[in-house]
Amino acid sequence: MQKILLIEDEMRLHKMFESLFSMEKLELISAYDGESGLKLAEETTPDLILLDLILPIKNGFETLNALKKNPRLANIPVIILTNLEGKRDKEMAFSSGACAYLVKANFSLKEILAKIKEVLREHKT
Amino acid sequence: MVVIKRILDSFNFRKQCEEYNIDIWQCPQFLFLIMGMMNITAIVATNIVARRYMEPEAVALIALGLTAALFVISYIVVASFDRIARTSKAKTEFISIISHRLRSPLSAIKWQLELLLNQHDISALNSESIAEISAQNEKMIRIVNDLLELSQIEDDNLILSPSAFSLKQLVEDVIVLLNKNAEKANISIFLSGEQDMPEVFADRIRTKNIVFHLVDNAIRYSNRSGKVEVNLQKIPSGVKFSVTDEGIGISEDDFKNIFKKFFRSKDILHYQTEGTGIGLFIAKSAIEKSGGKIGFNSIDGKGSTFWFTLPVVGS
Repeated sequence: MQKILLIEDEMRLHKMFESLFSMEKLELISAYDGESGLKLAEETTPDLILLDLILPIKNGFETLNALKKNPRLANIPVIILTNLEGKRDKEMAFSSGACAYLVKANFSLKEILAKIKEVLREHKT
Repeated sequence: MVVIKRILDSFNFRKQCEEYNIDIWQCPQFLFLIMGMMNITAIVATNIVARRYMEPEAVALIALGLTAALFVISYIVVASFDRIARTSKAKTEFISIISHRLRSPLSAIKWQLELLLNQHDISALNSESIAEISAQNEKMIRIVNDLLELSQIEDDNLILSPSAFSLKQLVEDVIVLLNKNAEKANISIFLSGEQDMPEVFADRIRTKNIVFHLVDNAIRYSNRSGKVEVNLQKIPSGVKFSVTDEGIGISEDDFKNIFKKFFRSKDILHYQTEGTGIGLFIAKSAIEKSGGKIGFNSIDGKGSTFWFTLPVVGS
């Protein structure tokens, strides 16, 4: 079973992703701030990370940079899942090593799931 | 040190203009400098002319009085300009912050409704209501996205993510989405044009919004009957999309304002109240930034055709 780490401060969204993943044989690991997200990534080495940008303690960019600096975690694909959409946010996310940038309001769960599967497939080979 | 830096900063026009995001010729500080130089020139000229005919003391006094008056006037003008520029920037930022904030609850509602709709034990009646709520929620998301795009355009911060895609497929998808609205209004949508169309190179999501907006407008301004014809054709510079309705048309007085921000025709308010008046403004910015063109032809009372072009892959 592949593990997805969701770093997102809104509790409600974790529940939604849990019910989404339960149908797809994906395991959800939940972190509610950047720092505990990093810790959980170390402990569980997930197959993919879904990362929000506005987060308590350590924001999304700091978390992403820390993930990419850690040789054990640097290869885990990171999908940014946020409602921010500035030019700089996008550029910064990609230059820091994110593999996709999804704006929450513009994607259905089905489309997000498709993207997750696509990224997982690409990283397997 | 701080004082020196502040003085130096006040002479750094480029920095100030960048902060306001306006052209140097519209920048208050720069204009102040230009006005100051013009004042000095005018005063020196007055001085030279006046000296021929008057006592030197009187000339000096006149020159001094003129300088002071002109200085005060230019200062007032520039200061109010500065205030307007600041307010305008604050407004753009405010729109951006609010739109981002609104997106969080809207996306949570969107996903929750999607999960609800996917449940097995949901009755047909409930499922219809949920679909309706979902459609209204999508409408709100579109309005918020429009506002956000508007603030990005004003901030010169509009990001396009171009890729190759089939415009024909996209248009067909949009027509499927809008068919229900069209049927409700007793309007049929026809798609015509060449079968074999090359892929275009543009921002897919934005193009979809633009096509949606133009076809949706055609339906809504059709005045509850008739047909809407969507056409796709190859042209030397790429692909041309057009949508023609048999609706109320646009009066000639409104022609020059159609693509302006917040513009809504007065006539239109009698027919329907939806719309924010920013869709076409955004469409124009995005199409032109993608290397295409946008325009319309219309006969008042007979209907309108809106069209845009996009470059194809490799052009």
